[in-house]
Amino acid sequence: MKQFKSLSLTLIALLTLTFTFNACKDQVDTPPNPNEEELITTLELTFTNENNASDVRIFKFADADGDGGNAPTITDSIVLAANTSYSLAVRFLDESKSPVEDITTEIVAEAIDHLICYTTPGDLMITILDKDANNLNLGLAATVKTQAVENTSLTIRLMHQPNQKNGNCDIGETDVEVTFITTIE
Amino acid sequence: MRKIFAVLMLCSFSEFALSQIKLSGVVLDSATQKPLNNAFMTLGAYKVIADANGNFSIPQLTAGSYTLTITHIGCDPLALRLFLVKDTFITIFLPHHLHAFEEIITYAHNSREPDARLIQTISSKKLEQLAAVSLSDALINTNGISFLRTGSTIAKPIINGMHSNRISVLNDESKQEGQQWGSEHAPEIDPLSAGSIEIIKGASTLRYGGDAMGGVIRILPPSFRDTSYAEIALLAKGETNPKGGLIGLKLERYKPKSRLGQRAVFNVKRNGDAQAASYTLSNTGFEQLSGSYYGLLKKGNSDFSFTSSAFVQRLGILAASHIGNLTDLNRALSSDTPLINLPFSYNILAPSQRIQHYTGKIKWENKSDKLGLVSSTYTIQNNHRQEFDNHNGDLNAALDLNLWTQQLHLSIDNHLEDIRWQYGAMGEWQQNTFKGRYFIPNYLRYKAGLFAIATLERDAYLVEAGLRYDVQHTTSYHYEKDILKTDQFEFSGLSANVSGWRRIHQDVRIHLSAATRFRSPDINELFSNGLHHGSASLEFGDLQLKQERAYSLNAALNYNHNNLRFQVEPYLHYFNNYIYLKPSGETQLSIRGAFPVFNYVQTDASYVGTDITIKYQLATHWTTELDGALLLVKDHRNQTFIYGIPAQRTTGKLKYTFDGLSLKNAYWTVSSSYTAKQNRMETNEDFTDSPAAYTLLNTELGGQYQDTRLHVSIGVNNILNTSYRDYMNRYRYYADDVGISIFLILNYTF
Repeated sequence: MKQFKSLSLTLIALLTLTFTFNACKDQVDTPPNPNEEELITTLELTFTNENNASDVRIFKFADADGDGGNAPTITDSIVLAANTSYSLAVRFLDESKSPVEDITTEIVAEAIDHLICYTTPGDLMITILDKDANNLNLGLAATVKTQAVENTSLTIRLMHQPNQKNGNCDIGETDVEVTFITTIE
Repeated sequence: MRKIFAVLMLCSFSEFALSQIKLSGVVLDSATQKPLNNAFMTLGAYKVIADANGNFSIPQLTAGSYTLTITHIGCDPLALRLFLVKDTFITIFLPHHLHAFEEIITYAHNSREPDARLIQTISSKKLEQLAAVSLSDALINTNGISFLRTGSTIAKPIINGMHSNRISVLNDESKQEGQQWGSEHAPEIDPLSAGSIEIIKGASTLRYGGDAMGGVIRILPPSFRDTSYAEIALLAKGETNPKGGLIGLKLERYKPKSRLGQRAVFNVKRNGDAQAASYTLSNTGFEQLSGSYYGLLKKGNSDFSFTSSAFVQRLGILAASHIGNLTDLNRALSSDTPLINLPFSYNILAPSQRIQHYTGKIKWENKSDKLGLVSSTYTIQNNHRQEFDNHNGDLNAALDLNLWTQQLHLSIDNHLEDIRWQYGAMGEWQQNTFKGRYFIPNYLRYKAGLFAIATLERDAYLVEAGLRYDVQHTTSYHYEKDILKTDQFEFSGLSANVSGWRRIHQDVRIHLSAATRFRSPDINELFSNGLHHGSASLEFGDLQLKQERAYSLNAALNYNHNNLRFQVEPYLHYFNNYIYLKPSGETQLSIRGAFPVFNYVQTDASYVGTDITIKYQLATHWTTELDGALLLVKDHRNQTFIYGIPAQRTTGKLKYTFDGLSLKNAYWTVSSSYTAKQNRMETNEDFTDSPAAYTLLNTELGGQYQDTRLHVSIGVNNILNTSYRDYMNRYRYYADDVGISIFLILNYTF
């Protein structure tokens, strides 16, 4: 009899507990929507001819669902005129949100941890114009000087370098890396 | 027990005597012909002990028939039927097998119930001497166990070449439920809270669930001595690499009157960055706080026990290992030293992990003639894992998984005539919720299992057969493009096992076990969809995965005679629909750059291997040991090798036992372990070639200090400060493994 008593007591305790935890069930079927998380989907480059303000060229790379998932949808090629000086403005966007979110403002706010790097195998001459609070390059604004006609490429990288930034590109973690096919005509 | 096959020579001399007869003789070792002292003889009411020369005599006997029994340490008892008519002198040759080694494999459970499993046990005392705050510390010297590591602080045990979901870690009978699918998620266990740890290799573990094909690591509760006592034990460890230490406290008491035993354990460990042979491994600090309470009350035929434990850990992830894309990885691979190199620090910065695990358990056992041993257990566990990365910093976890588990186990252990029957049922409720980044979905899972095992034991053999049915139902919840998706999965199947052992000679035993088991695809194998930062790879699960089935053969040959012990444990596992993460050979472009793509796929695979241990006592105080672990794994459907399988290893050890240097029961060991290069890999599948073979040299000196209850050990690991990388360590892409380290462990019981 005594055994049954303790057994039934245990069972009651168990049922109570199970009931309590089933109360958490509400959480299970309402997972967070990852789309509400910050995401960089788009890199947008705006080239403005320094001698002709009406010559504005915009090129985009967009991967609507971020890493993984579907392949990038917009992969423009850069086309610029030879022997011309352009001012370049770079924007990072999250186009999965509506309205579209501009991540560039966050990069500006954390400028001491970020660096935008430009590499090209060709003859483009790129000079970064903007600096962070430590007077190190940031790279959201630059001057791009084209030389002779060529078929080349331009790689743009957003480096995240918390507590490490020293102006060097080869440290930290790559947040964005896009290579554009580039034609100078 | 061993059968007697003594060679006995009876030499009698005639000498007339009338009423009183004297029996005298000498006891000799049958192997060496040398006298054996202290043999204990019983003849009717007479009890005598042989002297230093093996001589004995029993005077004042009357004529008649007697049984003389001779017992001696290290020998089997011997019984002789004698018919005495006159004074007699006999020479007794005892097959004196003073085995130099205790049996390491026990063929029975500690309750001495018949059992066919291959069990290795690590005692509570041993765990304290090792100052084991993690399973890897506890199992480090166990042959046949290796580790899948992420740096020096995260290690997952590998048995029979398998890890993660194919190994179960059990608290008594309840499975430890953490996020075990992750290769960088170590089991949240504090071995110092355990009474002992059992390692059961191979597939003869049906009782503990169908999915542990590789084996089971079982954490057993402590047992109390049956006298009134209260003791406090202190444990301290200091080490130079990683710089830091451990302090542990254990309180234990038992009252025979109320039959109440209680034990409380508390441990705290902290260390800073580890050092490789020539540089600091930045941000590899570690903090752990763990404690437990165990209470056992015996009442009538019942035992009630209550366990609660808490485990909190914070650990740094090697700064250089957190990378953005393939370009970063290639940069890391082409550099000899880690790309981030900061001075030594105790601070843990992002990236880091914070893990909390809490367990509560109630167990009730009742022994009755009618039902046998009935046991019921209820366990509740909460596992909260947070991973922080460079982006969100130390405050907002990038990955936040909260897992609640409740388990109920019922079992009956009964003897019907000479067959032992074990039946049982288990039920489990599990809920996972996440915050932050999506890696696996929220899910609710129910599991149930039923098993029956019958065991028949005879003098020279034992046979066991078992059957188990498992079923699970999972409902998952996650968003895909703003739409809430609910998926349902149901898996069920049968597992069966036949095993046993046979003594083919008094020194030789063989064990054989055949089993078929299945494992349901785990949540990450179904749902992974995205970037894995540590390896810069895109991992994709597959919702169409079927359950995998294993057909396993495990064997063991155990020879133990005089100075030699030899143990071989071969195994063969054949899998249908083996699930693994396969490099696809393709890269996918995203805004972060290019990433190699890995897919969870199914194939047919085989694991063939063996663990070997040879121990030989060279001289009275000198012992040598040679361990080896060999394993060959193959994908049969694609005729390729499989990624991530441990390389071949051997370890040699020399041990000297002595009393001296103010130490009692002291030992000094030197060991050298060799790990081969893993050549069984597909070219271009991995990011880099597998690391070169390496040899490590370790030494340790330990013993009890004089007549006190202080146990001291001091040692040096990686004496030569070898720089090496291990194939099974995920940091091998970024940095060398840990260099030379000196440690001191003090263990005092009041």
